[in-house]
Amino acid sequence: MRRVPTKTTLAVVGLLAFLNGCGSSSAGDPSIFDGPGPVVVGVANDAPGFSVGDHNPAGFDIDLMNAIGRGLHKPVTTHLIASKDRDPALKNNQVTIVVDQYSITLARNAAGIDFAGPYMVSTQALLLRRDDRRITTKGDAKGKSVCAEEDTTGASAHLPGALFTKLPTLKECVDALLRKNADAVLTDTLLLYGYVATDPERLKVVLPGDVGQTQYYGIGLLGGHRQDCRKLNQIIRDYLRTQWRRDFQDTLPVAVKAFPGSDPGDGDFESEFKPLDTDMTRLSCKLAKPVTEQPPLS
Amino acid sequence: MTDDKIAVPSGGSPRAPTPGSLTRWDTAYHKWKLLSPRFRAAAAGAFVSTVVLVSFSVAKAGIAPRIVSTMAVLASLVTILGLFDVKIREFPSLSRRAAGGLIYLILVMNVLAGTGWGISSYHQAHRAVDVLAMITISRNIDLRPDGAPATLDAPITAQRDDIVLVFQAVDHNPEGGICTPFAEFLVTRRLSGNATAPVAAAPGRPVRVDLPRGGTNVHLEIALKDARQLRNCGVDLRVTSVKLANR
Repeated sequence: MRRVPTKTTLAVVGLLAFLNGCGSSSAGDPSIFDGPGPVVVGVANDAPGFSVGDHNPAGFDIDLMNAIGRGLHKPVTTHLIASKDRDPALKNNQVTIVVDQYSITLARNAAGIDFAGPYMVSTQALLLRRDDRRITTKGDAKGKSVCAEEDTTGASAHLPGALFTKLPTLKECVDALLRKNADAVLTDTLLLYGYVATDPERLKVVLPGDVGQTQYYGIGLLGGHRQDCRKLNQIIRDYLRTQWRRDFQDTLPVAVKAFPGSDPGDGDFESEFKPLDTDMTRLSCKLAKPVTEQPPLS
Repeated sequence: MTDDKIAVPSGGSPRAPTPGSLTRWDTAYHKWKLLSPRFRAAAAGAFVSTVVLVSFSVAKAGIAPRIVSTMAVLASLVTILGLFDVKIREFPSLSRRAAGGLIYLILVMNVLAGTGWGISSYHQAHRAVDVLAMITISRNIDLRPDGAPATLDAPITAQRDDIVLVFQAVDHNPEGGICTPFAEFLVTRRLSGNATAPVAAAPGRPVRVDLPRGGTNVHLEIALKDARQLRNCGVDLRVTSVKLANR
Protein backbone atom coordinates (compact mmCIF):
# COMPACT_ATOMS: atom_id res chain seq x y z
CA MET A 1 0.00 0.00 0.00
CA ARG A 2 1.37 3.37 -0.93
CA ARG A 3 1.85 5.72 1.97
CA VAL A 4 0.66 9.24 1.46
CA PRO A 5 2.85 11.80 3.23
CA THR A 6 1.01 13.45 6.08
CA LYS A 7 1.09 17.17 6.80
CA THR A 8 3.45 16.49 9.68
CA THR A 9 5.86 14.57 7.48
CA LEU A 10 5.80 17.31 4.91
CA ALA A 11 6.37 19.92 7.57
CA VAL A 12 9.36 18.03 8.97
CA VAL A 13 10.82 17.53 5.50
CA GLY A 14 10.29 21.22 4.74
CA LEU A 15 11.94 22.24 7.99
CA LEU A 16 14.92 19.98 7.34
CA ALA A 17 15.26 21.39 3.84
CA PHE A 18 15.11 24.92 5.26
CA LEU A 19 17.73 24.16 7.91
CA ASN A 20 19.92 22.48 5.33
CA GLY A 21 19.68 25.58 3.16
CA CYS A 22 20.57 27.80 6.10
CA GLY A 23 23.55 25.59 6.88
CA SER A 24 25.02 25.70 3.44
CA SER A 25 24.64 29.44 3.09
CA SER A 26 26.19 30.16 6.48
CA ALA A 27 29.04 27.74 5.78
CA GLY A 28 30.00 29.95 3.19
CA ASP A 29 31.36 31.38 0.74
CA PRO A 30 30.80 30.72 -2.92
CA SER A 31 33.96 29.10 -4.26
CA ILE A 32 36.37 31.30 -6.14
CA PHE A 33 37.15 28.31 -8.35
CA ASP A 34 33.55 27.71 -9.47
CA GLY A 35 33.58 29.96 -12.55
CA PRO A 36 33.52 28.48 -16.06
CA GLY A 37 36.89 29.80 -17.17
CA PRO A 38 40.41 28.97 -16.04
CA VAL A 39 41.81 29.97 -12.66
CA VAL A 40 43.61 33.27 -13.22
CA VAL A 41 46.89 33.32 -11.27
CA GLY A 42 48.77 36.54 -10.60
CA VAL A 43 52.49 35.94 -11.09
CA ALA A 44 55.65 38.00 -11.47
CA ASN A 45 57.79 38.25 -14.56
CA ASP A 46 60.91 39.63 -12.91
CA ALA A 47 61.69 37.06 -10.22
CA PRO A 48 64.41 34.74 -11.48
CA GLY A 49 64.03 31.29 -10.00
CA PHE A 50 60.36 31.88 -9.18
CA SER A 51 58.72 33.39 -12.23
CA VAL A 52 60.51 35.06 -15.08
CA GLY A 53 59.53 35.85 -18.64
CA ASP A 54 56.68 37.78 -20.21
CA HIS A 55 55.45 34.81 -22.22
CA ASN A 56 55.20 31.37 -20.67
CA PRO A 57 57.01 32.40 -17.48
CA ALA A 58 58.99 29.68 -15.73
CA GLY A 59 60.23 29.06 -12.22
CA PHE A 60 59.24 27.61 -8.86
CA ASP A 61 56.01 29.64 -8.59
CA ILE A 62 54.95 28.45 -12.03
CA ASP A 63 55.61 24.82 -11.08
CA LEU A 64 53.47 25.30 -7.97
CA MET A 65 50.76 27.03 -10.00
CA ASN A 66 50.58 24.04 -12.34
CA ALA A 67 50.36 21.68 -9.36
CA ILE A 68 47.44 23.75 -8.06
CA GLY A 69 45.68 23.47 -11.42
CA ARG A 70 46.11 19.70 -11.33
CA GLY A 71 44.88 19.58 -7.74
CA LEU A 72 41.79 21.62 -8.57
CA HIS A 73 41.20 19.81 -11.87
CA LYS A 74 40.94 23.21 -13.51
CA PRO A 75 42.96 24.93 -16.22
CA VAL A 76 45.15 27.79 -15.00
CA THR A 77 46.34 30.90 -16.76
CA THR A 78 48.90 33.50 -15.73
CA HIS A 79 48.35 37.21 -15.31
CA LEU A 80 51.53 39.24 -14.89
CA ILE A 81 51.48 41.70 -11.99
CA ALA A 82 53.97 43.90 -10.20
CA SER A 83 54.46 43.33 -6.48
CA LYS A 84 52.68 46.56 -5.60
CA ASP A 85 49.62 45.45 -7.60
CA ARG A 86 49.08 42.10 -5.86
CA ASP A 87 46.54 43.33 -3.31
CA PRO A 88 44.56 45.48 -5.81
CA ALA A 89 44.54 42.67 -8.41
CA LEU A 90 42.83 40.37 -5.92
CA LYS A 91 40.41 43.00 -4.69
CA ASN A 92 39.44 44.05 -8.22
CA ASN A 93 38.96 40.41 -9.24
CA GLN A 94 41.60 40.68 -11.94
CA VAL A 95 43.12 37.50 -10.60
CA THR A 96 41.69 34.55 -8.65
CA ILE A 97 44.83 33.83 -6.63
CA VAL A 98 48.36 35.21 -6.41
CA VAL A 99 51.45 32.99 -6.49
CA ASP A 100 54.18 35.59 -6.43
CA GLN A 101 56.59 35.26 -3.47
CA TYR A 102 53.76 36.85 -1.55
CA SER A 103 54.78 37.16 2.10
CA ILE A 104 52.16 36.37 4.72
CA THR A 105 51.80 39.36 7.05
CA LEU A 106 49.22 40.48 9.56
CA ALA A 107 49.07 43.82 7.77
CA ARG A 108 47.91 42.05 4.60
CA ASN A 109 45.45 39.96 6.60
CA ALA A 110 44.10 43.20 8.04
CA ALA A 111 43.71 44.53 4.52
CA GLY A 112 41.50 41.56 3.60
CA ILE A 113 44.03 39.22 1.97
CA ASP A 114 44.08 35.64 3.22
CA PHE A 115 46.82 33.13 2.53
CA ALA A 116 47.10 29.43 1.93
CA GLY A 117 50.45 27.89 2.74
CA PRO A 118 53.22 28.81 3.27
CA TYR A 119 54.99 26.92 0.51
CA MET A 120 58.39 28.57 1.09
CA VAL A 121 60.34 30.15 3.94
CA SER A 122 63.03 32.69 3.23
CA THR A 123 65.18 34.95 5.32
CA GLN A 124 66.20 38.31 3.94
CA ALA A 125 69.64 39.41 2.83
CA LEU A 126 71.60 42.00 0.88
CA LEU A 127 72.62 41.75 -2.75
CA LEU A 128 75.96 43.38 -3.54
CA ARG A 129 78.18 43.78 -6.52
CA ARG A 130 80.55 40.82 -6.48
CA ASP A 131 83.67 42.97 -6.12
CA ASP A 132 82.28 45.10 -3.29
CA ARG A 133 83.74 44.08 0.08
CA ARG A 134 82.58 47.06 2.11
CA ILE A 135 79.57 45.37 3.71
CA THR A 136 80.42 42.28 5.74
CA THR A 137 78.38 43.02 8.87
CA LYS A 138 75.01 44.59 9.50
CA GLY A 139 76.69 47.70 10.91
CA ASP A 140 78.60 48.25 7.65
CA ALA A 141 75.31 49.24 5.98
CA LYS A 142 75.35 52.51 7.90
CA GLY A 143 75.54 55.38 5.43
CA LYS A 144 75.19 53.06 2.42
CA SER A 145 72.49 53.39 -0.21
CA VAL A 146 70.13 50.41 0.01
CA CYS A 147 67.43 49.82 -2.59
CA ALA A 148 64.18 47.96 -1.92
CA GLU A 149 61.08 47.27 -3.97
CA GLU A 150 58.02 49.38 -3.13
CA ASP A 151 55.22 47.79 -1.13
CA THR A 152 57.24 44.76 -0.15
CA THR A 153 58.38 43.53 3.24
CA GLY A 154 61.97 44.41 2.29
CA ALA A 155 60.96 48.05 2.01
CA SER A 156 59.77 47.93 5.63
CA ALA A 157 62.91 46.29 7.01
CA HIS A 158 64.95 48.11 9.64
CA LEU A 159 68.61 48.53 8.81
CA PRO A 160 70.02 51.16 11.15
CA GLY A 161 71.83 53.99 9.41
CA ALA A 162 71.15 52.76 5.87
CA LEU A 163 69.81 55.21 3.29
CA PHE A 164 66.81 53.52 1.72
CA THR A 165 65.69 54.05 -1.86
CA LYS A 166 62.42 52.47 -2.96
CA LEU A 167 61.78 51.63 -6.61
CA PRO A 168 58.69 50.12 -8.29
CA THR A 169 60.30 46.79 -9.20
CA LEU A 170 63.09 44.59 -7.89
CA LYS A 171 64.68 44.52 -11.33
CA GLU A 172 65.05 48.30 -11.23
CA CYS A 173 66.82 47.97 -7.89
CA VAL A 174 69.22 45.35 -9.29
CA ASP A 175 69.86 47.54 -12.33
CA ALA A 176 70.57 50.50 -10.02
CA LEU A 177 73.02 48.32 -8.07
CA LEU A 178 74.86 47.24 -11.23
CA ARG A 179 75.01 50.86 -12.43
CA LYS A 180 76.45 51.77 -9.01
CA ASN A 181 73.47 53.97 -8.22
CA ALA A 182 72.89 51.83 -5.13
CA ASP A 183 75.26 50.01 -2.79
CA ALA A 184 72.95 47.11 -1.96
CA VAL A 185 69.53 45.62 -2.57
CA LEU A 186 67.53 44.32 0.36
CA THR A 187 64.92 41.64 -0.14
CA ASP A 188 64.29 37.94 0.38
CA THR A 189 67.38 35.72 0.26
CA LEU A 190 65.84 33.32 -2.24
CA LEU A 191 64.92 36.11 -4.65
CA LEU A 192 68.48 37.38 -4.43
CA TYR A 193 69.87 33.90 -5.13
CA GLY A 194 67.66 33.90 -8.20
CA TYR A 195 69.30 37.11 -9.40
CA VAL A 196 72.76 35.76 -8.63
CA ALA A 197 71.96 32.76 -10.83
CA THR A 198 71.33 35.12 -13.75
CA ASP A 199 74.58 37.03 -13.28
CA PRO A 200 76.99 35.16 -10.98
CA GLU A 201 80.02 37.07 -12.22
CA ARG A 202 78.71 40.42 -11.03
CA LEU A 203 76.40 39.71 -8.04
CA LYS A 204 76.61 38.08 -4.61
CA VAL A 205 74.40 37.61 -1.58
CA VAL A 206 75.63 38.62 1.89
CA LEU A 207 74.25 38.49 5.43
CA PRO A 208 71.40 36.01 4.79
CA GLY A 209 69.22 36.00 7.88
CA ASP A 210 71.08 38.91 9.49
CA VAL A 211 68.90 41.65 8.02
CA GLY A 212 65.14 41.93 7.68
CA GLN A 213 62.83 39.19 8.89
CA THR A 214 61.98 35.65 7.95
CA GLN A 215 59.34 35.58 5.22
CA TYR A 216 56.68 32.95 4.60
CA TYR A 217 55.41 32.81 1.02
CA GLY A 218 51.74 32.02 0.76
CA ILE A 219 49.17 31.82 -1.98
CA GLY A 220 47.09 34.98 -1.75
CA LEU A 221 43.33 34.99 -2.09
CA LEU A 222 40.55 37.25 -0.94
CA GLY A 223 39.45 36.75 2.66
CA GLY A 224 36.17 34.99 3.34
CA HIS A 225 36.87 31.87 1.26
CA ARG A 226 38.08 29.52 3.93
CA GLN A 227 36.95 26.34 2.19
CA ASP A 228 38.94 27.29 -0.91
CA CYS A 229 41.88 28.23 1.29
CA ARG A 230 41.82 24.84 2.99
CA LYS A 231 41.58 23.14 -0.38
CA LEU A 232 44.71 25.00 -1.48
CA ASN A 233 46.43 24.00 1.77
CA GLN A 234 45.80 20.35 1.02
CA ILE A 235 47.25 20.75 -2.46
CA ILE A 236 50.31 22.52 -0.99
CA ARG A 237 50.77 19.74 1.58
CA ASP A 238 50.79 17.16 -1.19
CA TYR A 239 53.16 19.33 -3.20
CA LEU A 240 55.57 19.73 -0.27
CA ARG A 241 55.60 15.99 0.22
CA THR A 242 56.01 14.90 -3.38
CA GLN A 243 57.40 17.65 -5.57
CA TRP A 244 58.84 20.52 -3.57
CA ARG A 245 62.42 19.26 -3.24
CA ARG A 246 62.82 18.39 -6.91
CA ASP A 247 61.35 21.68 -8.13
CA PHE A 248 63.56 23.63 -5.72
CA GLN A 249 66.69 21.91 -7.00
CA ASP A 250 65.66 22.60 -10.59
CA THR A 251 64.75 26.26 -10.20
CA LEU A 252 66.95 27.62 -7.39
CA PRO A 253 70.35 25.95 -7.84
CA VAL A 254 72.33 28.77 -6.22
CA ALA A 255 70.34 28.40 -3.01
CA VAL A 256 70.94 24.64 -3.08
CA LYS A 257 74.66 25.30 -3.44
CA ALA A 258 74.64 27.85 -0.62
CA PHE A 259 73.19 25.32 1.84
CA PRO A 260 75.13 22.13 1.24
CA GLY A 261 74.17 20.37 4.47
CA SER A 262 74.09 16.61 4.42
CA ASP A 263 70.34 16.11 4.79
CA PRO A 264 67.06 17.96 5.42
CA GLY A 265 67.73 17.94 9.14
CA ASP A 266 71.28 19.18 8.96
CA GLY A 267 71.72 22.48 7.20
CA ASP A 268 70.69 21.64 3.68
CA PHE A 269 68.39 23.86 1.63
CA GLU A 270 65.32 21.94 2.72
CA SER A 271 65.94 22.61 6.41
CA GLU A 272 66.37 26.30 5.59
CA PHE A 273 63.58 26.98 3.10
CA LYS A 274 60.90 24.31 3.38
CA PRO A 275 58.02 25.20 5.66
CA LEU A 276 56.89 22.97 8.50
CA ASP A 277 53.36 21.71 8.85
CA THR A 278 53.02 23.82 12.00
CA ASP A 279 53.77 26.93 9.92
CA MET A 280 50.65 26.21 7.90
CA THR A 281 48.57 25.76 11.02
CA ARG A 282 49.74 29.05 12.45
CA LEU A 283 49.69 31.25 9.39
CA SER A 284 47.08 30.20 6.87
CA CYS A 285 43.35 30.64 6.30
CA LYS A 286 42.79 33.24 9.00
CA LEU A 287 39.95 35.20 7.47
CA ALA A 288 36.58 33.51 7.87
CA LYS A 289 34.84 36.59 6.51
CA PRO A 290 35.81 39.18 3.95
CA VAL A 291 37.31 42.34 5.39
CA THR A 292 35.06 45.13 4.22
CA GLU A 293 36.74 48.07 5.87
CA GLN A 294 40.43 48.45 5.95
CA PRO A 295 41.55 49.25 9.48
CA PRO A 296 44.28 51.81 9.90
CA LEU A 297 47.69 50.20 10.08
CA SER A 298 50.07 51.35 12.74
CA MET B 1 16.43 51.13 94.97
CA THR B 2 13.51 50.09 92.78
CA ASP B 3 12.96 46.74 91.09
CA ASP B 4 13.21 48.35 87.64
CA LYS B 5 16.67 49.64 88.41
CA ILE B 6 17.79 46.19 89.36
CA ALA B 7 16.33 44.65 86.23
CA VAL B 8 17.77 46.99 83.57
CA PRO B 9 21.16 45.66 82.73
CA SER B 10 23.88 48.18 82.17
CA GLY B 11 27.04 47.27 80.24
CA GLY B 12 25.80 43.83 79.24
CA SER B 13 25.50 42.11 82.66
CA PRO B 14 23.19 42.73 85.55
CA ARG B 15 24.61 44.15 88.72
CA ALA B 16 25.27 41.90 91.65
CA PRO B 17 22.15 41.45 93.72
CA THR B 18 21.77 43.65 96.72
CA PRO B 19 19.93 42.65 99.83
CA GLY B 20 16.83 44.53 98.64
CA SER B 21 16.67 42.72 95.34
CA LEU B 22 17.28 39.15 96.48
CA THR B 23 13.64 38.21 96.08
CA ARG B 24 13.56 39.31 92.41
CA TRP B 25 16.83 37.47 91.66
CA ASP B 26 15.57 34.40 93.44
CA THR B 27 12.43 34.57 91.35
CA ALA B 28 14.41 34.94 88.13
CA TYR B 29 16.66 32.04 89.06
CA HIS B 30 13.61 29.99 89.94
CA LYS B 31 12.03 30.79 86.58
CA TRP B 32 15.26 29.87 84.82
CA LYS B 33 15.37 26.54 86.61
CA LEU B 34 11.79 25.87 85.58
CA LEU B 35 12.76 26.03 81.91
CA SER B 36 13.45 22.75 80.17
CA PRO B 37 17.17 21.87 79.83
CA ARG B 38 16.92 22.04 76.02
CA PHE B 39 15.40 25.51 76.16
CA ARG B 40 18.07 26.70 78.60
CA ALA B 41 20.80 25.32 76.34
CA ALA B 42 19.28 27.10 73.35
CA ALA B 43 19.09 30.40 75.22
CA ALA B 44 22.64 30.13 76.51
CA GLY B 45 23.87 29.09 73.05
CA ALA B 46 22.12 32.00 71.38
CA PHE B 47 23.66 34.47 73.80
CA VAL B 48 27.17 33.02 73.69
CA SER B 49 27.23 32.69 69.91
CA THR B 50 26.00 36.27 69.60
CA VAL B 51 28.75 37.50 71.88
CA VAL B 52 31.37 35.52 69.93
CA LEU B 53 30.16 36.88 66.58
CA VAL B 54 30.07 40.41 67.96
CA SER B 55 33.61 40.06 69.26
CA PHE B 56 34.81 38.90 65.87
CA SER B 57 32.94 41.61 64.04
CA VAL B 58 34.36 44.31 66.31
CA ALA B 59 37.86 42.93 65.83
CA LYS B 60 37.81 42.25 62.09
CA ALA B 61 34.75 43.22 60.13
CA GLY B 62 33.44 46.51 58.80
CA ILE B 63 30.66 48.79 59.96
CA ALA B 64 27.73 46.80 58.50
CA PRO B 65 28.44 43.54 60.38
CA ARG B 66 28.96 45.58 63.56
CA ILE B 67 25.53 47.17 63.27
CA VAL B 68 23.93 43.78 62.59
CA SER B 69 25.79 42.24 65.54
CA THR B 70 24.77 45.06 67.87
CA MET B 71 21.16 44.53 66.88
CA ALA B 72 21.58 40.82 67.60
CA VAL B 73 22.91 41.66 71.08
CA LEU B 74 19.95 43.91 71.73
CA ALA B 75 17.60 41.17 70.53
CA SER B 76 19.34 38.74 72.87
CA LEU B 77 18.97 41.11 75.81
CA VAL B 78 15.32 41.70 75.06
CA THR B 79 14.85 37.95 74.86
CA ILE B 80 16.53 37.42 78.20
CA LEU B 81 14.35 40.08 79.77
CA GLY B 82 11.31 38.33 78.31
CA LEU B 83 12.57 34.98 79.43
CA PHE B 84 12.84 36.09 83.01
CA ASP B 85 9.60 37.99 82.78
CA VAL B 86 11.27 41.28 83.66
CA LYS B 87 9.05 44.33 83.31
CA ILE B 88 10.56 47.56 82.07
CA ARG B 89 8.42 50.63 82.12
CA GLU B 90 9.44 52.00 78.70
CA PHE B 91 9.29 48.69 76.81
CA PRO B 92 6.36 46.42 76.03
CA SER B 93 6.56 43.09 77.80
CA LEU B 94 7.53 39.99 75.82
CA SER B 95 5.64 36.78 76.25
CA ARG B 96 7.51 33.61 77.14
CA ARG B 97 6.38 32.06 73.86
CA ALA B 98 7.69 35.00 71.81
CA ALA B 99 10.96 34.93 73.76
CA GLY B 100 11.37 31.25 72.94
CA GLY B 101 10.76 31.88 69.25
CA LEU B 102 13.23 34.73 69.29
CA ILE B 103 15.88 32.52 70.85
CA TYR B 104 15.60 29.94 68.10
CA LEU B 105 15.54 32.71 65.49
CA ILE B 106 18.71 34.20 66.92
CA LEU B 107 20.34 30.76 66.97
CA VAL B 108 19.47 30.16 63.30
CA MET B 109 20.66 33.66 62.34
CA ASN B 110 23.90 33.17 64.23
CA VAL B 111 24.54 29.82 62.55
CA LEU B 112 23.85 31.41 59.15
CA ALA B 113 26.00 34.42 59.95
CA GLY B 114 28.82 32.23 61.25
CA THR B 115 28.72 29.97 58.18
CA GLY B 116 28.51 32.92 55.82
CA TRP B 117 31.34 34.61 57.62
CA GLY B 118 33.45 31.48 57.33
CA ILE B 119 32.77 31.10 53.62
CA SER B 120 33.37 34.79 53.06
CA SER B 121 36.64 34.68 55.00
CA TYR B 122 37.80 31.63 53.02
CA HIS B 123 36.86 33.35 49.77
CA GLN B 124 38.63 36.54 50.82
CA ALA B 125 41.75 34.58 51.69
CA HIS B 126 41.82 32.62 48.43
CA ARG B 127 40.26 34.85 45.78
CA ALA B 128 42.41 36.08 42.92
CA VAL B 129 43.51 39.67 43.41
CA ASP B 130 43.77 41.79 40.27
CA VAL B 131 46.87 43.98 40.29
CA LEU B 132 47.02 44.83 36.59
CA ALA B 133 46.56 48.53 37.26
CA MET B 134 49.49 48.53 39.70
CA ILE B 135 52.22 46.93 37.57
CA THR B 136 55.24 48.67 36.10
CA ILE B 137 56.60 47.32 32.82
CA SER B 138 59.60 48.44 30.84
CA ARG B 139 61.62 47.48 27.72
CA ASN B 140 58.52 45.75 26.36
CA ILE B 141 58.53 47.42 22.93
CA ASP B 142 60.48 45.81 20.07
CA LEU B 143 61.48 42.87 22.22
CA ARG B 144 63.95 40.65 20.39
CA PRO B 145 65.08 37.07 20.93
CA ASP B 146 68.70 38.13 21.28
CA GLY B 147 67.97 41.38 23.12
CA ALA B 148 67.46 42.44 26.71
CA PRO B 149 64.34 41.05 28.40
CA ALA B 150 61.36 43.18 29.40
CA THR B 151 60.89 43.71 33.12
CA LEU B 152 57.66 43.70 35.09
CA ASP B 153 57.20 44.72 38.72
CA ALA B 154 53.99 44.00 40.58
CA PRO B 155 53.07 44.67 44.20
CA ILE B 156 52.05 41.70 46.34
CA THR B 157 48.96 43.20 47.95
CA ALA B 158 47.73 39.85 49.28
CA GLN B 159 49.63 36.73 50.21
CA ARG B 160 49.04 34.16 47.48
CA ASP B 161 50.87 31.17 46.01
CA ASP B 162 51.35 32.50 42.47
CA ILE B 163 51.19 35.47 40.21
CA VAL B 164 49.16 34.61 37.10
CA LEU B 165 49.82 36.66 33.99
CA VAL B 166 48.43 36.77 30.46
CA PHE B 167 50.60 38.29 27.75
CA GLN B 168 49.83 39.45 24.27
CA ALA B 169 52.34 39.64 21.44
CA VAL B 170 52.06 42.23 18.68
CA ASP B 171 54.30 42.48 15.64
CA HIS B 172 56.47 45.55 16.04
CA ASN B 173 56.77 45.91 12.28
CA PRO B 174 53.64 44.31 10.80
CA GLU B 175 54.54 45.36 7.25
CA GLY B 176 57.98 43.75 7.48
CA GLY B 177 57.03 40.17 8.21
CA ILE B 178 55.14 38.00 10.65
CA CYS B 179 56.42 36.98 14.04
CA THR B 180 53.60 36.74 16.54
CA PRO B 181 52.28 33.28 15.55
CA PHE B 182 55.66 31.93 16.62
CA ALA B 183 56.24 34.16 19.64
CA GLU B 184 56.62 32.56 23.05
CA PHE B 185 57.93 34.20 26.17
CA LEU B 186 60.14 32.96 28.98
CA VAL B 187 59.30 34.40 32.39
CA THR B 188 61.91 34.45 35.14
CA ARG B 189 61.37 35.71 38.70
CA ARG B 190 64.30 37.48 40.27
CA LEU B 191 64.75 37.87 44.01
CA SER B 192 67.89 39.34 45.53
CA GLY B 193 69.84 38.58 42.37
CA ASN B 194 68.75 34.95 42.23
CA ALA B 195 66.65 33.81 39.29
CA THR B 196 64.14 31.01 39.20
CA ALA B 197 63.94 28.57 36.30
CA PRO B 198 62.21 30.28 33.36
CA VAL B 199 58.59 29.45 32.73
CA ALA B 200 57.32 29.35 29.13
CA ALA B 201 54.33 31.54 28.36
CA ALA B 202 52.31 31.42 25.16
CA PRO B 203 50.52 34.66 24.26
CA GLY B 204 46.89 34.70 25.30
CA ARG B 205 47.29 31.87 27.79
CA PRO B 206 47.74 32.31 31.54
CA VAL B 207 51.16 31.55 32.99
CA ARG B 208 51.78 30.97 36.71
CA VAL B 209 54.92 32.04 38.51
CA ASP B 210 55.29 31.16 42.17
CA LEU B 211 55.54 34.03 44.64
CA PRO B 212 58.00 34.40 47.50
CA ARG B 213 56.60 34.11 51.02
CA GLY B 214 56.32 37.40 52.82
CA GLY B 215 57.39 39.54 49.86
CA THR B 216 55.81 42.88 49.07
CA ASN B 217 56.86 43.09 45.43
CA VAL B 218 57.71 40.68 42.63
CA HIS B 219 60.19 41.40 39.87
CA LEU B 220 59.89 39.43 36.63
CA GLU B 221 62.01 39.33 33.50
CA ILE B 222 60.23 38.40 30.28
CA ALA B 223 62.34 37.32 27.32
CA LEU B 224 61.24 36.47 23.79
CA LYS B 225 62.09 32.82 23.26
CA ASP B 226 64.75 32.32 20.64
CA ALA B 227 63.51 30.27 17.70
CA ARG B 228 64.42 29.89 14.04
CA GLN B 229 61.21 31.59 12.95
CA LEU B 230 61.90 34.64 15.10
CA ARG B 231 65.23 35.63 13.60
CA ASN B 232 65.35 39.44 13.67
CA CYS B 233 61.78 39.58 14.89
CA GLY B 234 60.64 42.54 16.93
CA VAL B 235 57.64 41.91 19.15
CA ASP B 236 55.76 44.32 21.36
CA LEU B 237 54.81 42.69 24.64
CA ARG B 238 51.50 43.65 26.21
CA VAL B 239 50.10 42.45 29.50
CA THR B 240 46.36 41.86 29.57
CA SER B 241 45.93 40.30 33.01
CA VAL B 242 47.92 40.11 36.25
CA LYS B 243 46.41 38.39 39.28
CA LEU B 244 47.67 37.07 42.57
CA ALA B 245 46.09 33.66 43.06
CA ASN B 246 46.33 30.43 44.96
CA ARG B 247 46.79 27.11 43.20
